[in-house]
Amino acid sequence: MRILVAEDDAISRTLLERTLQRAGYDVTAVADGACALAELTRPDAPRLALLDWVMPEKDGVEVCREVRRRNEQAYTYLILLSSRESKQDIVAGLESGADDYLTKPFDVDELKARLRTGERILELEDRLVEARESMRFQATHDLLTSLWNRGVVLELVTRDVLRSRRDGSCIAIMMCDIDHFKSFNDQYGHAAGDEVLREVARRLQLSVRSYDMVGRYGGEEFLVALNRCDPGSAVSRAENLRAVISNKPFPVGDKRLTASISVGLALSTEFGNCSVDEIVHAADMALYAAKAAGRNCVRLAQPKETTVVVR
Amino acid sequence: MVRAVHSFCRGLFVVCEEAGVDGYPSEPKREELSRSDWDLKELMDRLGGDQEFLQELLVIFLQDARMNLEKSRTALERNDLTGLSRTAHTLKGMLRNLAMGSVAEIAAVLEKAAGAGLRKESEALLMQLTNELGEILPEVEAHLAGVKS
Repeated sequence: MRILVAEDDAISRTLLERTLQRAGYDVTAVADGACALAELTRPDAPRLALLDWVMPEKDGVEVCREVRRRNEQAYTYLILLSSRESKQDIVAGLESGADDYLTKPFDVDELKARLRTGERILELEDRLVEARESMRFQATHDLLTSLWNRGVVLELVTRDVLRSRRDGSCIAIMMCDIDHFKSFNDQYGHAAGDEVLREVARRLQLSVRSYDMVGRYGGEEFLVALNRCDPGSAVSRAENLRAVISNKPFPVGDKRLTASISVGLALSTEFGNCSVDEIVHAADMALYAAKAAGRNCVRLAQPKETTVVVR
Repeated sequence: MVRAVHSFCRGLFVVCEEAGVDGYPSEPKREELSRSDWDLKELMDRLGGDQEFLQELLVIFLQDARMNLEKSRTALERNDLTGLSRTAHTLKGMLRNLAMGSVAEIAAVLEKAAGAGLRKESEALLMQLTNELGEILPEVEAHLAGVKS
């Protein structure tokens, strides 16, 4: 584990550095408080630090306060080192944000034991962060496909449509539905159906740019939004997505099965006076038209009643 | 001479005590100005017998002790007692780390006296510290030379 040692006295700094290196730590050593603060506020900062109280530039207490004030993402375990032994000094040191306090001259075994305590606390924090991130992911993503879930993808599309209206760009919104999916499930089972859902999601995700969005809208329905889309090429892009699904078989167990999607497409610039819900509804109606036309095809929604046949 | 130094130091002790500076090194007796100030055995025990590491530390010490002593003198000349307290703190740390206990205690009292703004007392303590280091530094150099040969 990486550790920062901040100690202006070269003898003490060298002693600490060598002791810690022998104990297996990857040591960064600095000689003043300003350098210590710079090291502790870098993106890849060490998460353990031993800070001398009395140092040039900034003392150990100031460094502790500043690190806590900045409250960076990952927690840093700070130990203050000092020859000051009074209860008031210890209280002041801990109140500044230090996690522990060691008086000098330090005992090597005690130092190592206290550092191990610090490591246990950091591990606990890592586990908590991991759990939080996992919960956050579960709250925003569809767990089967890892795509955005319905609520989040609609929020993102709403945000981007509003932005596109400010900058005059176009968003192509597509409702994509797997053809004959219920029959597929009945014939091959739900496990195979899940494999197909995951593979459709993967192919759609790989076929769009990093600033486009793909979400699972319903059981076998996906919402795709292409940001800054040239209206003239939106239909061909929708057609590409359709082809990505139908042109290559799906390996399910030892079988190679085929699948296709129908696509309903609506352009935000064609529905400039409509709400996002209305645009999504228009794409949904176009999807119904694609199904009625025989499936495995693309239909473009028009602001008027009629839809245009694409293929 | 020893009696004169003794009474000077006792007077200094009274002034420091009144200023709230606790702890004062005992009066320097002639026999104490010997090499018992440096507990080399204790130091080697702390370093796990690592001769090479000891040499590395002593080389750093020779350089840093002289530098901090010079900084201390400059601080005193400029009447910068805060600066003097800081350099005394540094000297205290390195002397304690190298098992030079009683000299470290002079630096400790100097740190407190300078921190309390006692200029005359600080001057006397700095003189004492300089004298002590004047004895120890050649001994450290001799040790290093002896190891090399």
